[in-house]
Amino acid sequence: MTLASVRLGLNLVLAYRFEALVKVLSASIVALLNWCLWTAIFQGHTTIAGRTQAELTTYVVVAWVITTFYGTRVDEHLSARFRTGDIGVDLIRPWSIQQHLYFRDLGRASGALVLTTVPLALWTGLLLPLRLPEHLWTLPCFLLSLFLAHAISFGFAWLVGIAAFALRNSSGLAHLKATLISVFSGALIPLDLYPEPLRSWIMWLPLQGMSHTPADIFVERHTPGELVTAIAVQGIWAGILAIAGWWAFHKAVRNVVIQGG
Amino acid sequence: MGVDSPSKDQKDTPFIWAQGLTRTYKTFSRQPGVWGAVRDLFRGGGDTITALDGFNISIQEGELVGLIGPNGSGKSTTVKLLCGILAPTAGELQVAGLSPSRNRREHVRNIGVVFGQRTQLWWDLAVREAFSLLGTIYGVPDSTVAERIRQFDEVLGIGDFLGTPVRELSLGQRMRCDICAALLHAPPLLFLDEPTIGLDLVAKQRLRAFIKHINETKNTTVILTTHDLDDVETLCSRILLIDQGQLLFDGSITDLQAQAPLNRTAVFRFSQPLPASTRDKLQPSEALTCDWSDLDHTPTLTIQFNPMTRSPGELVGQIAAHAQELGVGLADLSIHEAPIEELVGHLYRNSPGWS
Repeated sequence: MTLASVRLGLNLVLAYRFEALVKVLSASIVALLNWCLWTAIFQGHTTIAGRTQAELTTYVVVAWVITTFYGTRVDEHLSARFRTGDIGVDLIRPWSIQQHLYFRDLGRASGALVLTTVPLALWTGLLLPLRLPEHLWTLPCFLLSLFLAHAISFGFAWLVGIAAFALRNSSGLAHLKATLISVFSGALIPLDLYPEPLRSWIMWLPLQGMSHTPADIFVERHTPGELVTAIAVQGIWAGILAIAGWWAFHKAVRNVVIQGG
Repeated sequence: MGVDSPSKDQKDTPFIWAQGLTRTYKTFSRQPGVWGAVRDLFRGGGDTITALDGFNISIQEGELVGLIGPNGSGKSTTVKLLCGILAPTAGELQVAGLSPSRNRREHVRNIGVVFGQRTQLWWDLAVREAFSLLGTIYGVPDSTVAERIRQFDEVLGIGDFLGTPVRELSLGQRMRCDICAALLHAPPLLFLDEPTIGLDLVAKQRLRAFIKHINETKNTTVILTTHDLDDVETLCSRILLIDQGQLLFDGSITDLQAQAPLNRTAVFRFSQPLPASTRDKLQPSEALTCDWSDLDHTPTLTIQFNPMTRSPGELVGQIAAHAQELGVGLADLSIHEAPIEELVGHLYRNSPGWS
């Protein structure tokens, strides 16, 4: 069942291969732009906010490249199914729709990993002078953190989808979601560059687990103790969002008259 | 799977059993503008409307039941309650010994649902892949899925487009696939919500034959909601007519005929002007009403008749033969059935409690 959901997501990526190519192109441009920007900013500095040029440029490239993996549109999917009444079709299946769509999106993300994220990582890694990990454990920790980043992204988008339906406004909330993620996830710049007290507040949000945590793990910012804490915080947030999502979904289903027909 | 799980209470309670089943909705009218929307968010309450009002039904296994009623009568609410998508506001409902909304996950294994206006397949998957995914969801082994697809193909002819993505199917093809999808896990109960909507005559007949076949060979209980009285007449052994949340009629098609004749209207258009004497000769004697009109200078004869006492074939044959004898050309011919609304009107007029 789980595997079938993953395969379905993978199938959907393969059905729209052209989209993957477009994403490689657009993400390349942003990654390149970020790199140029930070190279220019570093003129005459050796470190900024305690980060060397190689480390910071690597951070911004990695943080942006992984958005192609965790970036989900399950919010649009879910609010559309509520709006059109197709949610009724989901409710006549002997499954948990949340679980199914999570694994389906994991399949989508794995497809995107192969078609978009890895090609991007390869060319940026070859062309730009990036700081590659020195420790052996960095890579597995990074992958685990990436997996949790996806779970957080899914949980957040799931709640946005239900809110979009409840407020009858999906495009507005989709924009808000995109903005919140690019600013507060650390996908554009490391979160420790924000001034206090904004910086401390952002650290209390789940969104930092999407780009900031995996990218910092990749550039090896953490001591082993911090590394464990960072991953644990991601895991806790993923769990909280999943439970909140389950609760919100059941509340929405109970209050909603299945529309149409 | 669900087919083989007998429930404990099945001996005493019928397959589908409802007592005092009631469902109300809260509605609230939305206020205009941004501030209206914000205020709506915090506004509680609203008006309560009763979609279903103290419904009693009892349906045995293997019955083929037609659920009819005008728009907004409570048909869809009934189906949603029976599917477990909605929970009743009051009253009791049991399907195969389970409460559909409380035991939703167990209950949905026992049912297959076809929504005429939406597909339950995945747009981007080929039909065969969608079937195999459904097989996995319901825990049906691959070999059984393949065997069932082969059986469905024999009757419905779906073999030609098993490899086609669902988004590329025609409406008729998609509907056939949707029915197969609903039956893939061999549920003992099948819901068909407007299954023939938008289909051409050949496709409709093919689908009806298949529904009948499944009902007869598998003893599948079928509940059909429709606007098309033809569906009900050709398929259903029992009819439930709902209006304004209440059960207006429960019985066989013959009983319904006795209370409210399901009249047909036949319209004949002739190709040349006709004198009154010819018109009299063309008119059949046994029709309920005969009206002549001259739309666009072509004489048009509109006949109402009861198809149970007067066979449509004979009526048409008789008029066509007369026209030929008199040397009159028949330009066009059509037969319409009475709309459900008219039937409901008849029932209101005929039942003493309502007059």
